Amino acid sequence: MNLALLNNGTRFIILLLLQIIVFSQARIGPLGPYYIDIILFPLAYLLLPFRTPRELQFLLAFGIGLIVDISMQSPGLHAGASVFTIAVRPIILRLLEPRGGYDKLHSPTLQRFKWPWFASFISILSLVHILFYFSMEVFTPLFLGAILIKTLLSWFVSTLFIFLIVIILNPLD
Amino acid sequence: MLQGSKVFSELGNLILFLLLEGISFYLIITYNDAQAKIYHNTINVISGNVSNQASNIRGYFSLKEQNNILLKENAKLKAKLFNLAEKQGAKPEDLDLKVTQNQIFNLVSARVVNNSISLRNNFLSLNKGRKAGITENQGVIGENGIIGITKAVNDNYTTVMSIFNSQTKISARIKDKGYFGSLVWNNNGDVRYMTLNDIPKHVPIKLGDKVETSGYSNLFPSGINLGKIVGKRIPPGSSTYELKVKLYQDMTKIKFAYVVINYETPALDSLYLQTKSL
Repeated sequence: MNLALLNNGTRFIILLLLQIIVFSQARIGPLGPYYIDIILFPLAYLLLPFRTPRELQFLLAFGIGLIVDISMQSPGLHAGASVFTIAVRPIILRLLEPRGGYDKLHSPTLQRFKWPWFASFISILSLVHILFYFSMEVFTPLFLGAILIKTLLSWFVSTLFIFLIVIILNPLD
Repeated sequence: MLQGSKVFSELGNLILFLLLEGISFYLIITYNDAQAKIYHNTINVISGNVSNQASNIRGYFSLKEQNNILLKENAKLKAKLFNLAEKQGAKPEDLDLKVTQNQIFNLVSARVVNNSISLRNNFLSLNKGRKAGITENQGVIGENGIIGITKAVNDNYTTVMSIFNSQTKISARIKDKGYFGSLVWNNNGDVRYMTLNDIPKHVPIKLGDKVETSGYSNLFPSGINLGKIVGKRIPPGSSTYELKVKLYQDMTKIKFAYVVINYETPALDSLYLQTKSL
């Protein structure tokens, strides 16, 4: 129990620092207006243990999103996306549910699951977060094309970075 | 087996989710400029039509009173115009109200179709837009003072940032004395008073002194009466007055507004941009 608290707390702090100090500083723009944002902090709330109370999941996702928002001067964008993504997480978990079901004490980490499962879990939910984020950033369906292009580019790069982080740090429960 | 395998296992979670998304949405449309503009424009289109219909119907009930007010105002203006012409020895054709080359200001009249006064940041909607020549950042005045500044415009409607908005700052001066400062609203919910700041404390101020627009902002012509001073104080450590101004205009009752079009704005703006790039 305390170990889970320690692991998740450390994860929140490390990912926040990485996001704010390193990745939010670099907005990559190879295609003119279609820049890429590297967004990897969702990993922090996506890896919360299955037994975490729903209310706490929402509040933690909102909190970490808001901190990133404040540092990126985009109040509400990441907070909204995080809350939405954590709300969708159970649906994706149910879709990907292994035959034996989940062990309540575990977290959706690479330690507990194989790569195909973990990769689909992370890539689907980071797509949800990034799609929500860019929808709110552009804020009008008139520029649907811009939303989709930005989302796909950022999603591809962000997911790669998330996998890289997971391989390097190997997060536990 | 899995706790929370439904999206919302309880009503409380649903409420928490909606609350957090609501806060996020509020933050997005309050603190992000681009999103705020799109939001106000969209709301404008949706509510503009509805409010316009409602206002049309309500309008019938106060037609007579409004007519009288307009007639009086019209008469007052005409009298002023003729007096002025008399003084300067103008010919009758000079009184033609068409836009001439030398005219600086023109007014577009519009009806107020939506008005809020109870929020921290208040907005109004007018039933005229780009088609009538209105653009962003133009002043809006009423019969007895100023109403606000246009914020978002589409073809047929305009959203106006009210003077009762934490972001509004009006350049105003003390009548006959000429000292100018900025008129702001201190969000206390009282729409009868505003605060005039930045007047140096060596200036002799009497209660009852009149406040008018200074004309320094090119949004408003100078000399529009705004209100009179009913309270003065110098905050400790400050070198300027904090003056309480009672407004002549009752914003809770306005039905009509005039948008001020300044033909010199483009020229002034380009000059300002040049200065900035130096």
